[in-house]
Amino acid sequence: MDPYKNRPSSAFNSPFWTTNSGAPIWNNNSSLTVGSRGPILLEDYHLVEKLANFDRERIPERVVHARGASAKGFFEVTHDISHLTCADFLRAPGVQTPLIVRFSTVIHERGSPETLRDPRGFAVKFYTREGNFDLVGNNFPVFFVRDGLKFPDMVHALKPNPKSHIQENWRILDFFSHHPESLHMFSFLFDDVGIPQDYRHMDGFGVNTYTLINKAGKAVYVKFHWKTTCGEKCLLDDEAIRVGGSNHSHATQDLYDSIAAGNYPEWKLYIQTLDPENEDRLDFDPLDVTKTWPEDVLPLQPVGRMVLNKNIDNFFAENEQLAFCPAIIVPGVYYSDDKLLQTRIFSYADTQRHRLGPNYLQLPANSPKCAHHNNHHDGFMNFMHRDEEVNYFPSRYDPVRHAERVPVPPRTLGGKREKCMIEKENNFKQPGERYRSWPSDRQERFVRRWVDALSDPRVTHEIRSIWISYWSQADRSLGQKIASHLNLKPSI
Amino acid sequence: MDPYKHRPSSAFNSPFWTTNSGAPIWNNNSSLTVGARGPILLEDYHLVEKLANFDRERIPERVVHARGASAKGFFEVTHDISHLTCADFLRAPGVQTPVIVRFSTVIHERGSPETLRDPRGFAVKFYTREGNFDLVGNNLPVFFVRDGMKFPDMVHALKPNPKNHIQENWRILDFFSHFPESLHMFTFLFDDLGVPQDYRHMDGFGVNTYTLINKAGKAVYVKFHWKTTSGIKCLLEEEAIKVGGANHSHATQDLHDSIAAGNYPEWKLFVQTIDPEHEDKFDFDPLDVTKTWPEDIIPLQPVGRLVLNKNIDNFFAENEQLAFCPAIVVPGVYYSDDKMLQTRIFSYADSQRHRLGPNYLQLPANAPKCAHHNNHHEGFMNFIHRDEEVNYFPSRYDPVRHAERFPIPPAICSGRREKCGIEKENNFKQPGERYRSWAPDRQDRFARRWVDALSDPRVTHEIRSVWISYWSQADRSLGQKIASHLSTRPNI
Repeated sequence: MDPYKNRPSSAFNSPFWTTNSGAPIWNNNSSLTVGSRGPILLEDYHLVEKLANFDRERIPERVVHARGASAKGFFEVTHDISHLTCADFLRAPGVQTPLIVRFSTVIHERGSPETLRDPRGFAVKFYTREGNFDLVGNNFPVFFVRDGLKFPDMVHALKPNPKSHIQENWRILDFFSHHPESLHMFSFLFDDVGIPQDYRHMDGFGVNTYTLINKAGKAVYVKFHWKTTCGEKCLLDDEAIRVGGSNHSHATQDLYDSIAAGNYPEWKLYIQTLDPENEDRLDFDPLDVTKTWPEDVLPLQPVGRMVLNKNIDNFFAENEQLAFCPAIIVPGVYYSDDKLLQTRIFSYADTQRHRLGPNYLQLPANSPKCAHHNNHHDGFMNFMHRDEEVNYFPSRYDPVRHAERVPVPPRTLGGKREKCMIEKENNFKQPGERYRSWPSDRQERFVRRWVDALSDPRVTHEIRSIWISYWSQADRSLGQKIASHLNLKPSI
Repeated sequence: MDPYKHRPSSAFNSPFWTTNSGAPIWNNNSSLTVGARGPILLEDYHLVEKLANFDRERIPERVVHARGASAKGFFEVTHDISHLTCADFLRAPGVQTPVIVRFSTVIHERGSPETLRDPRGFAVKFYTREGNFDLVGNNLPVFFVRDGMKFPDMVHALKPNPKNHIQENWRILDFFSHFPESLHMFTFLFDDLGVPQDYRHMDGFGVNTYTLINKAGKAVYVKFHWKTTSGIKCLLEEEAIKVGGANHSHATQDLHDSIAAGNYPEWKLFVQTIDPEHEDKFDFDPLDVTKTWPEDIIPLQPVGRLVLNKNIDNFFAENEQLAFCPAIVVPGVYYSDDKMLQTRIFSYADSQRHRLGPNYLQLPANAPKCAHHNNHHEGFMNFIHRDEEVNYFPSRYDPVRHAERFPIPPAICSGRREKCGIEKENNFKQPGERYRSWAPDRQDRFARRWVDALSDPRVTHEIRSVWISYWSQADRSLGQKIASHLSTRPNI
C-alpha cells in the first residue's frame, strides 16, 4: 500500500460522509446526547473533528492585497527577444507557458468592496520549464516610495486608523507630506484610473526595474507592461458607490462570469529596455520606482500575449493559498538594485511563511511543474514524498550535482555601507507632465479629489501648505487651483 | 532589575526610534546599501526586523463574525434578581461592572460592507469579581439550526461559493430546504431587521437558553434581551446600497464617532425565565434555539442597563484580539442542554486558540480582572509572570485550595446515547404568527425578498416547491403570494 497514492481530493470521494480518518458518519445532523434532550458527550469525536476543522478554516490574510480574484490561462511569445534574454519560456515565438494570475486591491481587508480608490495588484505566475517566474506588479507603472524601508509605515498610514479602524486622509497626507517622491503615484491614484471598472479593463505593470540577461551574459534593464485588449475603463466616484454598494465583489464576479461565458480576457506584454551603460544619461534614475521611462525615448517592444481561459477550481486553494514573490525568477531574468525591489525579495516569501507555513511552495498552486530537488522540506505540513537516505549535501552516495551556471549581472559592486537617498530625485517633473497631458475635465476631477482629501478637518495648515507647495512645483496652475478651492495662498 | 516591570507599552516610549530589542535607529528612511545606488546588505537587521514584523501583522480572521467594532462601558443593575441567581455582579441594584462589547456582521470578511443582510453579533464581556462572563449573542432572538452539528455546513452554505467566491442564493436555499427549523430565523433575516441602520439602533439577545441558579441551588431557564434606548432603525435596500457604497465601515464609524461625541449608546437588560418543572407545558421545547418565548406568558423582567462610554485604545488589541466564548460563565449562571449552546461551549475557545494561540486569555482585553490561579499557562507567548516552584496540583508545599463550591443545575441527566432531533419541532407556528403581525407593506417587502432569492436561476423547481410549501405551512397567504409571483403552484 502506497500512502502517497490516494491523496485527499475530490477524485477519491466516498459516496457517504466520513471523518478525516475515513470512519463512516451515519448521522451528520445530530450531536451525540444523553437521551434525546440531554447534554452532548465529549466522546462525540465526529462533532469535535467537524467543529475543530471549521474553527481553523481561516488563515492570516495578506497584510496587503488581501482582497483579490484569480484565474488561469497561458502566455504565448509573439515576438523574438532571445537576443535580450536566455529565459527558456521566451525562447521563440509560438512558445506557450501555463500561468495563474491574481488581481487584487491593496489596502483594505478580505471582503472589502472592489470599488475603492486603491492600486490594483496584477501578479502573474508563469509555470516554466526552468521553474516558476513570478511577475508581481500593479495596475500603475510607479510606486509611492522608492525604498522599501518606508513600506511598513506607508501601509500603516494608508490602512485604517489603529484606534477607529477608519481610513483617514489626515494620516495619509501627513505621512506622504514627508515624501514628495509619492507625487507621481498620486497622479495615478487620484486620477480616474484610481478606480478601474473591474480587473479585465485595466493595464498591468511589473512596476520595478528588472534585468534581462542573454546567453552571452549581456544585461539590460527592463520594465514590463501588460496592455489589456478590452480597453481601459474606470468608474467615476458616483458610479463606484452604486456598483460597490450593490455588490462588494463585483470585479471577482465579472472575471469569473466572463471566463465562464467563454469571453476570455487578454493582455499584450511589452517591454522597455535600457542599456546600463546609458543609465546616467537620463534626468532621472532608472532604478527609481517612482519614475516611468518615456516611451518616445525608450519605446515599447512587443513580446507576447496572455489569455485567461480557465477559472480556478477552488478559491481557498488557488487564491487564498496562492503565493507570489518577486524573488522567484528564472535564468535570463534578474533583479535590479532598485531599493524597493531589493526589499520585496525578502518580504514576500517571509510573509507567506507566516501565512501558509514553511512548506508553502509545496502547495499545488505554488509548486514548480518541472523536476526539482533540494533538502528544504521538513517542518510543518511537509506532504512531499521523498525516499532518499541522503538529505545532506555534498555526499559521495548521491549523484545530484549543481545545475548549469546561469548568468547574473556582470557589473562590479563597489561603495561604502550607505543609508541614503538616491541623488537624482526629480520628484516633480513627471507628475506635472502627466497632469498637463489631460483634458480639462479630467484635470478638474483630479483637483476636486485633492481638495476633498485636504479638506479633512484634521489636516493641519502646515500639511495643506506642503501639499500645495508640492503640486505647485509639479504644475503652477494645479497648485493654484487647489489652493484657491481651499482659500489658501500657495507658499512658493 | 525586574524584567516584568517595563512591559512594552505606549507608556514607555523612547523619544527616538528603536528596534524591538531597544537599539537606536539613526535612519528610518533608507536601507543599508553598497554605495548610494547598490543592492541592500543582508546585515541590515533593522530593515529585516521591520519588514518581518510587518509581514506578520495579520492573524486569522474569525471564521464567522470577522467584521466588527467594539467599545467599552459598564453594566449597572437596576432591579434585584438575587432570588434567581447568586451571581455576584447581579447582587443588588446599583452594582456596576465594567464591560467590553463587540458588534459584528456574521458571514462576510473583515473589510466587508456593514450594510449586508446578515445577523449582527452582540457580544458582551462582563469583567466581574468572580471572573469574566461572556454573553455572546446576536441582534435576532433565534437561530437558523438547533443542533451545532449542522453549524459548519450551514456557514459554508451562507458563505461565498468556494469556486467563485460569490455569495449565492441557490446554495443557501438548497441547504436550508432540508431544515424547516430555519423558517423562524428567516422571518427576521428577510424582514427589514435584516439590515440594521448601524450597531446603536438594534436590540440584542442572548439567543440560547441559559440557566440561572440561586444560592439555594434552585435553577430556572433564562433568556436574555438587550433593548436599545436609541430605538430600532433599519436600512431599506436602496439606502443600504448608498450607505454601504459610500462607506463600507459606516457602522464602525458611527459607533466610534457617537462615543467620541459623548453620545453614549445604552441598552436595557431584560430576562425571561421558565421553571424547568414547567418545560413540558409549552407547544415548543424551551431548549430549542429556533423559538422565542411568548412575552404575554413569560414576561420580560427588567434587570439593568449597559452604557458604552469609552472607545477602545487600539483596534487590534481590543477588537481583533478580543475573544468571546459562551463557555465563560460565572457562579449563578450556567448553560442549558440547548444543543446549539452545548456545541458553542467547545467551538469558541477552540477557534480562539487557533487564531490567537493557547494563551489568548492572558491578553489584556481577555484576562480576568480578579485574582486567579492555575497551572495552564506555558506554551506559545506565555507572558504571565509566575515565580512558584510548585506548578502541579496537589502539593504539600502549596496552600492553594479549591474554591468554595457553587451551585450547578440539579437535574438528573439520563438516557441512552442518542443522535436525534428533538420531539416538539413545531417549525411553522411562530414564523407564521410573526408574519401575520406585520403591516401589509412590511409583509410585501418580505415576500418580495423571498421572490428575489427564489428567482436565482440555479434554484431548481424542487427547491422552489419545498420553500413554497414551507411558507404555506407557516401562513397560507404568504405561500400563495410567493408562488404567484414565481408563477409556481403551491404543493399543499
